[in-house]
Amino acid sequence: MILADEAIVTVYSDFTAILLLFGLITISTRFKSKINERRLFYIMCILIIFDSIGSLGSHAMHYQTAEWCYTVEILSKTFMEISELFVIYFWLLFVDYKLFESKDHLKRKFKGLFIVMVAFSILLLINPFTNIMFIIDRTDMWFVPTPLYHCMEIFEVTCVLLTFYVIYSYRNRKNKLHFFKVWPMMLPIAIGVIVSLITYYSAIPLGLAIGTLGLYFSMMETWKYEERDTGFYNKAYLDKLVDIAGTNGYDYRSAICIETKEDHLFEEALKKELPADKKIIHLKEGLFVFFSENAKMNFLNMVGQMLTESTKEYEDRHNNVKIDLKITNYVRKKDEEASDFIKRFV
Amino acid sequence: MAENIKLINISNLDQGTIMIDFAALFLLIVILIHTNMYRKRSLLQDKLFFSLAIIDVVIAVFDLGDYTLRTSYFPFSKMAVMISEMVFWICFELFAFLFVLYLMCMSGKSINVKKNWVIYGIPAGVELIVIISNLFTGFLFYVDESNEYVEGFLFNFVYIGAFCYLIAACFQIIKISKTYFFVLVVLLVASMAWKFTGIDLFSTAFNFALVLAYSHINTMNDEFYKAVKE
Repeated sequence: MILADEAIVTVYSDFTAILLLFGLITISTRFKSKINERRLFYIMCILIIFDSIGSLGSHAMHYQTAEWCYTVEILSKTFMEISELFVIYFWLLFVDYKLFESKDHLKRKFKGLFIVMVAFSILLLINPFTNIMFIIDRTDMWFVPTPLYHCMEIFEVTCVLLTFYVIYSYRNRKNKLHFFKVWPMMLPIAIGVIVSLITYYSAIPLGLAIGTLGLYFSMMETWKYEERDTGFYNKAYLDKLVDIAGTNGYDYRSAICIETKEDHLFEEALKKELPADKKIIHLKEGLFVFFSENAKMNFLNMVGQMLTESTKEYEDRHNNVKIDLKITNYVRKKDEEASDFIKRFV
Repeated sequence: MAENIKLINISNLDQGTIMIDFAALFLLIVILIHTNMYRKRSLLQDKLFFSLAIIDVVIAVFDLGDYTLRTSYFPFSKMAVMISEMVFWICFELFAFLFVLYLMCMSGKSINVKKNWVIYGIPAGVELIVIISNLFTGFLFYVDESNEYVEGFLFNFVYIGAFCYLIAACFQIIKISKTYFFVLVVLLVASMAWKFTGIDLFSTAFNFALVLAYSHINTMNDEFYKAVKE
């Protein structure tokens, strides 16, 4: 089988993308934890590997005339398109979860998009028999899109634009993205798309792979604020909070301190029973803090009650387990700066 | 009819190598940005990692220059290709040498490295002398009258030093992490398999950048931040 030069370049670029992500998911031990953000990221990596494999198979078959090449080409292209669709959708989910840290938020906002994505995936799956999404020219294996394919492209672009909207809406609430950078992911993808548009070569999988690695590196820098296995914030985060306290979204007015002797059990109870969006700082063995912008006593009591109930539920599920909690509420004084309030706990 | 002669006439495969070299440069910039805490920590292995990244940047830049000028008709291109190739191979040897030192530091032998780095550097030193002298002898490679790059009869000699370091690296990597070793072996086998297809498309800079990326990921598996000065 002799490949055309431009096919060789694309195949090589896809090959390097696969190597890059294969290394990432194999070496990193961080994916073993059950933290949702890392799970989403891991799924994204796998999907980009699938996308690269699809692209590799598809481009290797360009200008081939054998019948089996046609079959491989159409299957690879289908595989690649479905993977790409899922990558874009998961990127949107990842951005939303990274910022709002809530599974409920995801379910509420992106259920509709999920249905559209599944519908397009089904159309792509039946495409080899119906040609409703794209046609592969049998003479030179060239790709011919149908109007429905362009609809799918519009959907994909919409999902990408939605990620920017998610970031914009988050920034309206909290003025800075302190623990998240978008450019490490978006810039290489944009370069990959531009290269694919202006040259004969497709560099989108490579752009995606480098972007994913950049994003992973960027995430690693924020891990110094998180406990390795639980994902709770650590003492370093409290120091960081002192610096950013008072800014929009970090103008904390109250805090709830939880003391317990059963540190590990309480961690497990929190992880299982609490809603995912409640980020708690694990200050030291047996001491947890939760900051809030809401200083009303009703709210603080409600959170305290929720913590007690969560622990109780955990105790009920696990016989012979008893977790004693001591919950104390703190409210910021009127003349006290937000940073001074946080320093009380440092 | 007058022939339309272009000053630069790059083949499709060379364009591919140039594209991947640019990708390598981009990847290296990402690595350099996100390893700034190494410079804060400033241990010997951190300095070596930073040197490796800079050497790889040089490799990518000179590889780019080489592939761009190889088929060009500029008056200076013959000399430029020779110098690019020379710098490329010098950096290639240096990368192999420093990578072994880096791995030794990672496996807890920093003192050994500080004491004996000159001895470990002998293969690289010999290679450097041969590569520099090639400018006058042409035993390793040369550029002929028609501006074509030609490998000399001693060309494979440039791989001998790197091969010695590769074997030394294998012993060190196994001590650090078996997974890390496995991934680097996969990278090496995959790269060699690609090279043996006979297709003239290969980016050493990108492969080295991958090695650095893997090393960084492996380092960050541990609780690295505790030792970093804010």
